Amino acid sequence: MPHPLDPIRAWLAEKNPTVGEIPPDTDLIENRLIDSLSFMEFVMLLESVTGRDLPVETMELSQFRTLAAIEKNFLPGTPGTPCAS
Amino acid sequence: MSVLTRALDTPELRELLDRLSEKAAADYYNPYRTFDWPESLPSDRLWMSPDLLSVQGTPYGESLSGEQLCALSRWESINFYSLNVHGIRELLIEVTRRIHRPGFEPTSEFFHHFIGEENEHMWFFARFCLNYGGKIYPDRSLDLGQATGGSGSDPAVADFLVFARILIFEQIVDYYNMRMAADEDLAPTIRAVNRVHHQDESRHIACGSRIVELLWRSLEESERPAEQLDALRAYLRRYIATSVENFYNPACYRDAGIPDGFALRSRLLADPARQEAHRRLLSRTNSFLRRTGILADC
Repeated sequence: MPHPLDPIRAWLAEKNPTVGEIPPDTDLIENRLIDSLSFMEFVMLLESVTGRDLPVETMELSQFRTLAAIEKNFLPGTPGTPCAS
Repeated sequence: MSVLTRALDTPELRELLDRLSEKAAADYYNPYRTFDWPESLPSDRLWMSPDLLSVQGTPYGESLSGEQLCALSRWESINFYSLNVHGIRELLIEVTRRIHRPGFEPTSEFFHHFIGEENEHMWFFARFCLNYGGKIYPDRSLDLGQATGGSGSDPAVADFLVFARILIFEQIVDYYNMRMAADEDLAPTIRAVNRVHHQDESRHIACGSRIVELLWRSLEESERPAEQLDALRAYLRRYIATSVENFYNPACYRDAGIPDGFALRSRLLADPARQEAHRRLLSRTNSFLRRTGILADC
């Protein structure tokens, strides 16, 4: 069964083809899996997955830092946690 | 004498900026009284020249009805002016940080004109968005605390990147401005906003081109490792690509009633017709970057 994080994982893999499986607690910013330029597209993708606008200017960077944080902050109530397996 | 002073304090730049400052003062206008702001703009006409729409030339674009194209043009024009609002805010912050910093003395006078004019541009673009779109599309950028383009704590690289980003942003926007200012099918307010912006931007682009070239020469003549300049070039290439991609905003597709905007964005960006449109859009920028040797292969 598809998981809402799947498109985010697929996007990260496309942007970082040499990086393998990303653990849920990996810091995406510190490890530059997302940088200032790709961040804008990342937000567009996240908006498309969640179906709502994200007022980034009023948000904390920590909300986007890891796959676990993204799931907790933007995809609550999703069944299963394949990112944590 | 600092490296920055050596880079910028040239008779030729001083003469250029004197001329541009004089022209800015002579052409000064009151933006708050310059434009007619009708209650509404016609919803059955395009708000943006058709060749500037993100779907132009693609099979998907050809499948849309005239009504759908009008709706898309409304939201893509609001996106265009929103990008201007956010881009101007960022450049104002960076230029204001530098206006009276040691080394920038030759440019200070012109920067006062620049900051004043850019503030006014931000005002009329924001007003357009709020009057006719009821909103400004939000800025999706966030300070990630990362060094960009190999700048680290190197102020010379940071200065170069700031002015290179401003120049690229202004050249891309100016392509849209010139096209819409000349498009007789657009509403007079749309044409006027674009015409006035183009007039001021031609001075800003003349100044920016020279500053970027001088800052680049200074970096080239320094003893920085080649890898640092390569990182900077790689960043600029990605910055240009991202700037163009910002015109493909899934929120515009949604607001125009087009579903699955993110997937559509990806399809459009991969379309050969759009690649050709990007080449036209970036023609002036690429020509400048090639001529100056900043990006010899773009």
